[in-house]
Amino acid sequence: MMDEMIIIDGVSKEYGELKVLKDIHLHIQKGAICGIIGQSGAGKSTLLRCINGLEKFDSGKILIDGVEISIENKRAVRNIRREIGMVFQNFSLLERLNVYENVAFPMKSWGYSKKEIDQRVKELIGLVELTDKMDAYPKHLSGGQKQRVAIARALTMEPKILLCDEATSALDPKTSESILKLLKDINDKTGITIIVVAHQLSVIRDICTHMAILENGYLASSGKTIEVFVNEPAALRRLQAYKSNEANLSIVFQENHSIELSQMIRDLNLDVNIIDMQHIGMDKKTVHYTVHVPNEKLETCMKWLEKKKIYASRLKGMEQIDA
Amino acid sequence: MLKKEFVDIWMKYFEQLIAPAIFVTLRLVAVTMLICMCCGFLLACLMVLTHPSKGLRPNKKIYAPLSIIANSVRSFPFVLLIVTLAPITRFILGTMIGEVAAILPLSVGGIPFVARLLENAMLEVDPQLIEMSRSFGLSDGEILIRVILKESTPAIINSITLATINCVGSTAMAGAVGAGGLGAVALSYGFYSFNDVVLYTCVIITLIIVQIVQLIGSVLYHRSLGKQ
Repeated sequence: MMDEMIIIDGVSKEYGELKVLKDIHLHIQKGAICGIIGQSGAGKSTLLRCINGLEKFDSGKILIDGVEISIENKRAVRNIRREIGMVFQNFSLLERLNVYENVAFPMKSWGYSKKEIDQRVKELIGLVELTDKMDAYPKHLSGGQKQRVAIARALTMEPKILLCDEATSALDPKTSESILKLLKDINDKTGITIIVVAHQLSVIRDICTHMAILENGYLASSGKTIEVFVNEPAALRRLQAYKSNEANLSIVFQENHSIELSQMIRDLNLDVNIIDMQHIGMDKKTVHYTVHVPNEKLETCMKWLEKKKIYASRLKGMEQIDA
Repeated sequence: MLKKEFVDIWMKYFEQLIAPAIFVTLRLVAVTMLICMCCGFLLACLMVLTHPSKGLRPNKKIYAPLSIIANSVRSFPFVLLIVTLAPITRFILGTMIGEVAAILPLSVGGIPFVARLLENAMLEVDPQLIEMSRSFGLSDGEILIRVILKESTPAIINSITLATINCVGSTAMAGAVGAGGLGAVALSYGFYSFNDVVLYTCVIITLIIVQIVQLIGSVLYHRSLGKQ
């Protein structure tokens, strides 16, 4: 119980007729990086905003580190928000303040002493590698630099949780990767729990230890990223780029063991059609394959993989899933 | 010879009529704007707080009447506002004419104008910034001061400049009903007396005053933008 940072228990929300969230149950461990993914309008941003009390929800409850959020108690909500940093898609920097002042903004508002602010702000600007840009104004920063400032700002109050709302969606792939790497590093160093909302599967694959898929307000699937990828639930397949019905086997090789795929092919004398391959994690050590093997050999494949303790699962065709 | 005569007459008019009128106008504008900025600012804050869609604490019951009053006062032609307010002016100040009596209708006309301008300037602030501030646990009052006011300072300076220039115009109009100042001199000693020298001197001086106000406003605006 103690190692659960966020417990979302049966949360529902509607705007008039439109049900945005339908009975969401999600537990997020301390120190996890949990990705929430779904199409636009699936309710992911709304769910994120419910966590720090920016949005009300109609039923259910949310516990942050064991404390229930009640939006009616303004002071309590403000104190909870203090423990939760947030990063936005459009960076949301104050244009009339420079980098230093932007990072100092939350602490100043909470009335910290100048000395404390100065120490913490300089430390964080160093962490996001912007020491030489300390006096620059947002107008003169690139998108990636702006997001680094926003991340530093989100960390000033030493939050337990960092919420990222489409934090990399407005950035080019390379910049996006460097921001994700920064988030991962921060998670490694401080053990902070991070929740990432994204509509790109690559964001989830790159840094998330856990993931949750939202579809039309429902929690369609959730769990450890590797497990969700192995099982390839229908919701995940709907997010994937490929639309093949042929795929009948999903395999995840960890710790650079993808060489074992060729070993399996040799051992079992197989014809394997690789339909999709993707890395999970930024270190590129874990690889997920979606393949087609002849149906009559599927059983032997599964046994071989089980013996080697490799994550794998059989897949149904999309027609069967939809039916 | 003619030239010297002209200069002498002009100097006489200037010293006895126009120069005092300039001071009256400047005093009227300064006092009116001071009142308008204080009251207009408070009203604008209230409207920004209660704005039904963009407000920090949407409250239609407070916003709607404020908005209706602001609109109706602003839709009055200023001359009519002075006349309409005359009985109230007399009741409060004991007189309808003179500098002090003019300040009341000038302020009544100016406050809603300034309030609307400032409200618009403040509502221009990116709603995302407000959400960001909320996510850090700032209260509505802190958001108003630290985010909305801070970020909209350049727009607020522009609005005040506009309102001040507008006020110079209204002051001239108030001159028509006994407030004195450049407008009054231009009308009664210039236009009605067929004295073009006085009329156009007043016009040019008014132009110069407006230019100076605009210049100061622009300088302050650019300074407020700073290095951003």
